[in-house]
Amino acid sequence: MNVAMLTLVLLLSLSAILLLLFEKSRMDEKVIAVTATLGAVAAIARIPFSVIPNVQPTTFLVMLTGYVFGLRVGFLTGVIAAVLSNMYLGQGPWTIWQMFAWGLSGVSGGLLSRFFESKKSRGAGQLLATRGRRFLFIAVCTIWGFLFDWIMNFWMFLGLGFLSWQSFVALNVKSLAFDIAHSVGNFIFASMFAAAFAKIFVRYHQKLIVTRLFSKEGSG
Amino acid sequence: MSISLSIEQLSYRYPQAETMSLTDSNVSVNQGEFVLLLGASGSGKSTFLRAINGLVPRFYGGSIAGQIKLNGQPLEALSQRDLVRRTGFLQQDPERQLILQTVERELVFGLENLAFPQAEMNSRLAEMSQLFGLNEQIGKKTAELSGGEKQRIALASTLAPYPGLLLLDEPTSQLDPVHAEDVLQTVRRLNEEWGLTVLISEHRIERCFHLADRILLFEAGRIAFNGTPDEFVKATLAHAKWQLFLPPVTRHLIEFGMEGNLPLTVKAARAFVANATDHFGHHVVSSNPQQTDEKQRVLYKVQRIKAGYPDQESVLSDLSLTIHSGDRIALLGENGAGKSTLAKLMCGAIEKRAGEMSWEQRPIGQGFWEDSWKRIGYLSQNPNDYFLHDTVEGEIDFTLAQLSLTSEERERQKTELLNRLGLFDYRNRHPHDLSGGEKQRLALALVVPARPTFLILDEPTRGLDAEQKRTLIELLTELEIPAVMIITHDVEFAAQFANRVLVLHRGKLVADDAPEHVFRRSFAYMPQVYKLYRSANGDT
Amino acid sequence: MSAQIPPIRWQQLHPGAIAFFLFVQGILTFVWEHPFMLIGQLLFLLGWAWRERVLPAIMPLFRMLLVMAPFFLLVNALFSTNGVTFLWKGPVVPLIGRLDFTLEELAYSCMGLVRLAILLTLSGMFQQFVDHDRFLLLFAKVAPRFVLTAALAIRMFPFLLAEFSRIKETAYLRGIRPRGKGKRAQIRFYLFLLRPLLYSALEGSWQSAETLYARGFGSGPRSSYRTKKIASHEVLGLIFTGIVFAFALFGKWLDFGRIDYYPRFSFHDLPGDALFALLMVGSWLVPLYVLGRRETT
Ligand SMILES: Nc1ncnc2c1ncn2[C@@H]1O[C@H](COP(=O)(O)OP(=O)(O)OP(=O)(O)O)[C@@H](O)[C@H]1O
Ligand SMILES: Nc1ncnc2c1ncn2[C@@H]1O[C@H](COP(=O)(O)OP(=O)(O)OP(=O)(O)O)[C@@H](O)[C@H]1O
Ligand SMILES: [Mg+2]
Ligand SMILES: [Mg+2]
Repeated sequence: MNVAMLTLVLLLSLSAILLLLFEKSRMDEKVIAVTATLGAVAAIARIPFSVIPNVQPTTFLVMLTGYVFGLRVGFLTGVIAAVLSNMYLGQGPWTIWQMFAWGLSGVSGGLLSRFFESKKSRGAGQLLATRGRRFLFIAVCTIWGFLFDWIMNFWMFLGLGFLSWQSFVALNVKSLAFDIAHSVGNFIFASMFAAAFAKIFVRYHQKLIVTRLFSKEGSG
Repeated sequence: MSISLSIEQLSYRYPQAETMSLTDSNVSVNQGEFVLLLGASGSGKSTFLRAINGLVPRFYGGSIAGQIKLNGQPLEALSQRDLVRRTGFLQQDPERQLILQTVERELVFGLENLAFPQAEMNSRLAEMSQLFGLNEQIGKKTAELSGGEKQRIALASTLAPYPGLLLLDEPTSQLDPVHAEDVLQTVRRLNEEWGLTVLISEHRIERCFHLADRILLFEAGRIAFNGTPDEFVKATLAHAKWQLFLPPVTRHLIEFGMEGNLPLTVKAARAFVANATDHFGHHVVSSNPQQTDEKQRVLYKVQRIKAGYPDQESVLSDLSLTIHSGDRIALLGENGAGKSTLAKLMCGAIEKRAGEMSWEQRPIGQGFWEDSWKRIGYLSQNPNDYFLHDTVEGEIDFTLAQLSLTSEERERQKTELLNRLGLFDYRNRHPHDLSGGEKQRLALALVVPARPTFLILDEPTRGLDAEQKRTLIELLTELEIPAVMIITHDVEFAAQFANRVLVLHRGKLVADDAPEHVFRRSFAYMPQVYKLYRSANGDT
Repeated sequence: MSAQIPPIRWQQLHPGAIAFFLFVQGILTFVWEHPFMLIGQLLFLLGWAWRERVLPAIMPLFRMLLVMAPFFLLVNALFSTNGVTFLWKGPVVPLIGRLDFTLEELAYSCMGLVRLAILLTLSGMFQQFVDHDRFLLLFAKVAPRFVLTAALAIRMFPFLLAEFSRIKETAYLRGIRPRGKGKRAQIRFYLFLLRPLLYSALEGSWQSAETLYARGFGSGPRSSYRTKKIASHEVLGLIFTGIVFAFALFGKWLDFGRIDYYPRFSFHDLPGDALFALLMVGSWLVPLYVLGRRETT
């Protein structure tokens, strides 16, 4: 099926490009360690929730990671969270789409903070400090509940054979209950924990920024 | 390729820190020297090691002044690669240092980073696995190794690129005495045979004092002493405070008023004692003030117990143990013997597979574990697991809120706890910003308010300096807890604390007696002072 | 994960070889729409899985498929307006069009299900047959940073899981438990414990980073360690995989396996297609045999 193939190839090459950017970016060891750790945590956070369909804190955690650590770390954290959690919950063709979807939610977090956080509050380590920013974050996180599921529906649809746009719309209408569950979950996680977790993240983000006051001060 | 080191006027401050962590340090270390760094916790030993391999300031930032030279070359003239190739650095926690999934990968990781060709990597791998006896582990996953094995792998992978300078930051803190001895002997051998220059920081002094060619003593970021071990012993006569950093035998002889050329090892001490006039030495003075012979009330009894983890054979088999009030137990045993498992069983974290348990003569039923935390306190191996809040005060408030107390009572207890545990100054700090010893104390503060009848502490002495160990013992005495059991690898600490010693081996209790008896019998768990008299008195 | 109890011999193979074979199979599912070809491929894969005794590990994936399938089948057929052989004609709905079922739509959806089943089998096999650690490390040369991040995360995962259960245990032993029964209390409790996990995980990541630095990661060009060179029979297997794939495409170009679902479901050359499907299954056995020929232990 050509549309399916085309999207898959598109997706793969997009991921490849992003990875290449990641390689070229000369991220240092600290960022690598933090990314790996947060990816693992986001994956672990998903496991106890697997009993409730479609409610999990992973989307929220990944987005927050992007928000604090920047879009690159956010993207990778999402990618890793998807792969790792599926090692536990079952790997499948959906993994690649989840990688993509969660990766994008991390990117969106990064973009959000890039556009809406001022330099000053960033420097002072006060992210999500004002009510407006918190609301914005919560809103976007809630929307991601839907976006994520649409992306996931899309792959199912492609895998099955692409029939028509109408049936895609209908599919989404049908799975509305699940989407709502996801975004209500996101809403709850974000409104309860966004500010507190942001503080935790910021603590470590500030550690990553090396401040050199003076490198050598004579020798005597 | 051995390396000499010279440090001139080194000062360093961490970013956002108010005080300097190193001040005006001057040292020069010759090729092939074995240097032991001593000092209280927080005195700057780790920072010093980090400065030598460039982690400070390249990785941490902050401000630095002064000069460090490796073989005459200033550090800042070297690239990261040159530096890493010359120095090997091993931190305290092996769990976080193993990066990859399999042992084989782990061993070559450093070589890959330094762009060694494939053939070279193969031969280094063979060499290392022979040197450390890793042939069996090489195909294993790093996650499946025991603590002792992890530490050995971490050391082996640090040494694979053949650095000329080895920096070790408390490399044996997780190891039982036998494994620790193993690691240190290997390091010593490398030092002797390869001419490797070694700098090692260690809190359990008895293990490596005699290996050292030179002692550096740190006090609040300054090098307070720099000289040979013998000179150090002499210096302690003038500085009584430094005696804490002497090996126990030496300290013991000083306590008896001995002077002059004091011995540093058990062997030398034996000769010393044999030559001395006979006015001392017929008795080991037990330093434990609480020694009680009368066995009191039976508190807790486990009989013919079996326990373990899902999908595994039982770790503990056919184990029986009775706890009396007044017991101060030290539980010793090799890595993986099942000490932590026993502790978890006794506080209800894991279930028994067979056997009987009773508390105060009554069999333990299902309902018992619901609020057992009020009777049996447990402090796990890792204090970080206790911290759920943002400030020290918040943690304590939260814990007290679990108890049914009036609000004045709560305030009173909080102030008392903070003061007693020396945390008052830190009450608004973040728990993760505390030093190791402080974290340990805070975790203790979260367990004792429930006034447990029986308290189990799992390796509370990790990373504590001699002073802090002493305060821990005092604290436990003050707290008036009827029975305490401490799991530890630190035999010297056990000798100071316990009035009863248990040794666990492969899930079985192989010794359970008063300290004198156990220590006399067992070589692996014999404090130095006992070793001394073992031979001085002929036998036992 | 790759830690299966009886070692699967395909895991001993060069991970690149086996991954390539599975990848080509994945591409191939999208080449055909003909039921013979797809069912042939599915049977071939299932037979392989059965021989290697990994079917039980793959089955759970199918269970999920069975739950979703009828739903997707119906929705797809109901909302699309294709085909001429009406089974049921419903009302016209604005925007979407006429609700209807046609034979063609149903057939097409069934074909989609078979394709999905193939993809699921392939991903199950990838899971079982590829040594993930080694597979990942294949890319260590082109993307060292990403590979290291992923490898570190994989290693961290069981470690942090253990840490999480330790944190939970510690809380229990302090009398901190879910308030009340039921799932909601449980979940609140989990979230409460997520904080200490985050803290200690991040705290520890700093140490890992220090180790990375101290061991020279990122200090310049690096080499990468190969446990095994690709063996000659594996190279041969790869070549055969390529040849069979080319042969399949050639067959397609020759119009084998041509089928039209719309407007009317119609085969073009039924016996020819059946023969070709058999031929394909037969020829896939060749690279498979070559790849697995040497019992690598
Ligand atoms: N990353 C850091 N940021 C800020 N301050 C730090 C950091 N690490 C250590 N310090 C401070 O620097 C001082 C020296 O610490 P260092 O870790 O070198 O002590 P140490 O002698 O190794 O102690 P220990 O025996 O407990 O390991 C301490 O006051 C400590 O609080
Ligand atoms: N959570 C667990 N799941 C499975 N096995 C475990 C678990 N914890 C410990 N074990 C195994 O049980 C055995 C005993 O472990 P335990 O932690 O009791 O040893 P220990 O005597 O406390 O050692 P150490 O001195 O290193 O702390 C070991 O073989 C270990 O691998
Ligand atoms: Mg230190
Ligand atoms: Mg233990």
